[in-house]
Amino acid sequence: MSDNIEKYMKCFMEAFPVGKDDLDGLKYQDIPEWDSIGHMNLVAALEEEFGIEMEIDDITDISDFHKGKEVLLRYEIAV
Amino acid sequence: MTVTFDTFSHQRLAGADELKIAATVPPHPVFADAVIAMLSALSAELMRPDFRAFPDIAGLGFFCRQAHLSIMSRAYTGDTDFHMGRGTTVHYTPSNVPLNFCYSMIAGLLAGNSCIIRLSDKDSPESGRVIAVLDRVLSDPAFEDIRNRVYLLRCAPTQDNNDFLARLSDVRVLWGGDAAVSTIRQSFLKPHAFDVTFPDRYSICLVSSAAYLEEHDRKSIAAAFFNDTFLFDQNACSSPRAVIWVGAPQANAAAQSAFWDALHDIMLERGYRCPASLTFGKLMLVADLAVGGHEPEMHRCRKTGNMVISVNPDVLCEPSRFSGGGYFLQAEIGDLSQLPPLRGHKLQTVTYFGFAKEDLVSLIAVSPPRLQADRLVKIGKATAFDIVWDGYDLISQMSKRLVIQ
Repeated sequence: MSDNIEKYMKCFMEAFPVGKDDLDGLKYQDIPEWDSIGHMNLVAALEEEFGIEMEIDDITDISDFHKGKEVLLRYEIAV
Repeated sequence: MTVTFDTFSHQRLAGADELKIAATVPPHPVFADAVIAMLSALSAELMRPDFRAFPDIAGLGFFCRQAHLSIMSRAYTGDTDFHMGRGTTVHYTPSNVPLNFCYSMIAGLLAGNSCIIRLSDKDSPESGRVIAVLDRVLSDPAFEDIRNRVYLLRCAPTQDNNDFLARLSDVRVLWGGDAAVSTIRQSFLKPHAFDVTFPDRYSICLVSSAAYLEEHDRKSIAAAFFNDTFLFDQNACSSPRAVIWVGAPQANAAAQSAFWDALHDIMLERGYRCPASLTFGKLMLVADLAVGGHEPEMHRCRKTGNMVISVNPDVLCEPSRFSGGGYFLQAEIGDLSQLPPLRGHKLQTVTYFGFAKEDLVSLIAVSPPRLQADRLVKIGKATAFDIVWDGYDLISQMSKRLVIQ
């Protein structure tokens, strides 16, 4: 589990110019970099890091840092 | 004069060293590993931060990422199905959507074919960049097989050239206006070959006024509508050209005013102005409506040049009334049962807000249909390319399903 949260946070930090402390509560469009293009980068990073293929509805459901964890649970990944 | 490989006058843009190579390689099974590997490498290049300023390049990269290709492949690669390419596909690609050529190529390759792609003469910053990246990725020795199945070119639109390309085609894919499609079809294909055509289409948007007025995040809706329309000067087939407001008169009026204000704000924020060269043509269309007794009511935003013209719903049944470049017809109806009958083959996409999918499907799945469209998608998804387009499943269309007993 702790390993997964590290990986999960790494994906956000790869996709956006943020540090660990900024992640809690971070939402789509909170920062200019998390726009529709940044969102694609985040999804691509999550897919690669966890070896999953995300369906379109799940992709659009990742509206904030916490919601993304719920979405990953649908792929049997506990963060 | 009959054109041959030796006399075909054209400009090579990317892919195999010679056209003849791409025109003579045999077909392959669909979703071949080598194709997926090449497209994944292309995806990684297109999603680099360098292209952040070009949303459609990033979107193309996202489309051809490995995970998405893998999801797509599931529909065609089961145990009982065996799909093979048809051979050489020749694609005539349009200028109104700069990266369309690449989506068409991706579909052709995934379907197991070689792809000869004729690009329009109009260069765009996006297409130039993508062609350069594609050529670089294909030059990796690991992708030599795929490189030999791809050939991007420009050539004069002459009958001789069209005849030559027709002789190479097992499937010919025609994107473009009605006139271009009809002209190219005068060059006859081999007996077994066929055309997949994407002629002129138009699209509309349906909004529930009450739902819109309850929405807090109107800015996001405006941004989504902007992406559906002005990324391509409202000239993509899937960009809405009319908005139909559904609700009580007061709600419709309030929703319209808030919606267009929010859209104009986004246009200003993005620094987008409607092309001034189109203003005269747009005004002529309004004049035509007036002469025809349709009593159009015109609203023009001075800062952006966007025009919104209120008309009776019946006007929306006449595709000749539509235009792009910042020209929206709008009409009001009380509920979905009052929708004018939008039938024929011209309506492509209906974007919607505030309706359940089922409400709209019930308009399509009746006889006669009240709404004859190929796509129902939420606002913001109009131009997102899908492997199913204009009712064609492009993989099935460009491949053969074998019977093996």
